[in-house]
Amino acid sequence: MPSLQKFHANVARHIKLMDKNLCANLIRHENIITTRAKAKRAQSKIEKFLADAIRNNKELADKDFEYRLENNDALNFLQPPDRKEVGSKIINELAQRYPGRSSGFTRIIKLEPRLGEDKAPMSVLELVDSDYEIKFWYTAKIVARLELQNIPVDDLTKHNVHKLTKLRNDGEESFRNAVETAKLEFFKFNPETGSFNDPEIEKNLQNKPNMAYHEGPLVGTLLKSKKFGTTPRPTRETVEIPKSPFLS
Amino acid sequence: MSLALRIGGSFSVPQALLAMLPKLPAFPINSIFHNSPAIDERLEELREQIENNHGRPPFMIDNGTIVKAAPKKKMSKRRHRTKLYTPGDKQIHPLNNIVRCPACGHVKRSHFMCMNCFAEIRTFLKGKKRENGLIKDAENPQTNLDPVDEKLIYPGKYLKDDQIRLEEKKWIPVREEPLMFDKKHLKHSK
Ligand SMILES: [Zn+2]
Repeated sequence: MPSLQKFHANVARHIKLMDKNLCANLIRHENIITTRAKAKRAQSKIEKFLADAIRNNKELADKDFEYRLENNDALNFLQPPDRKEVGSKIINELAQRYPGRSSGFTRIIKLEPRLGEDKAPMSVLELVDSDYEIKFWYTAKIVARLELQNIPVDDLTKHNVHKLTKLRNDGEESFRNAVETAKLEFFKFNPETGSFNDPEIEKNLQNKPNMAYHEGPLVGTLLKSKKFGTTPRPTRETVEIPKSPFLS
Repeated sequence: MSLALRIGGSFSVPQALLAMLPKLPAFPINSIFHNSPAIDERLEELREQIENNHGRPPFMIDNGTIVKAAPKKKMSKRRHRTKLYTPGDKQIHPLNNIVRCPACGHVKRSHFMCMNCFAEIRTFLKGKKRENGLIKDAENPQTNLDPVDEKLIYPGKYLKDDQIRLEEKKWIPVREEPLMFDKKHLKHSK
């Protein structure tokens, strides 16, 4: 990972401001594309900020909106011009989106290097459980493709779907809708006739995955060791504890 | 001597030999014919030409010699040593982490987002944001202008060739569509 400490003048102040700006823009746009170093550096700051802001908001739950915006100390992390806009989004939206979370609000996805002169490694920094989550739509696309090919979903995709829908509001339902949308958007599927509007996509769908993971011998081996043969742990038996002689 | 050695050396590689053969009319071809399992069409053609030419080879460029690719300049010591002897981490490595993207079937790097799918999803999400009113396009204040007035007010300007080429924006690099994944392309089949 390249270091950001290239120019030694005012680096600390510059980096602090970068973190604040990235934080405000991430909350505004739900996902941003930056270089890997900036994303990794800002992620911890954003996690801490969101955790504090949402916890403080919970403590002030019985107060009105204006009071909560004024007295949430965590919001002081933001730059003054962003405070009202971003703070109100946290109070109105993010607090309802993350009722049970105390950490893990963001995700970093690695991208290929930038197509410019510098070839910098890029990444996506995104808020989890949002409607504009890239991993959510990517997984929806995978499931849509498998359903169009009439192939059962493999273990890894099932695991990912479970993780994506576990804490989301109406997770299962919204994922189902996303899969149907993905069929229309990404595969140009026509549900009335059951055919595809684009012959290239029909040709592309003939490329099939390794079927051993879908209906072959490798199903159910996701969490098993490939190196060592393991036996399942025996079920716990109820043990009768003898009565203590000291208790009359 | 050196010619014979070279021919002997390349004899074990039939592909390379066949590619070289039209340039080697001077040595006896029959000896190769006996050993090679399949006869190349070019060899037949060459034999016909030799028979028609009273046993002499037809005219070719580089008749009777082997011409190899020749560098234009001597490689400097520094260049040579950098290429061969620098630490391995400074040299370019092949990508060994290529897997199949489950969402589109093209190749991608494992643990990285598939850029083909990412571009699709990104444009889709942008459209979704525009639908929901999160992205607001700047509104043109003069949409209800009369076409005649518009022509008068904005007559357009003359663009030179280089300006037109600049506006095509061909200088912006575009990512190519990756290959479809195929098991046969892998060095070690999984
Ligand atoms: Zn893909």
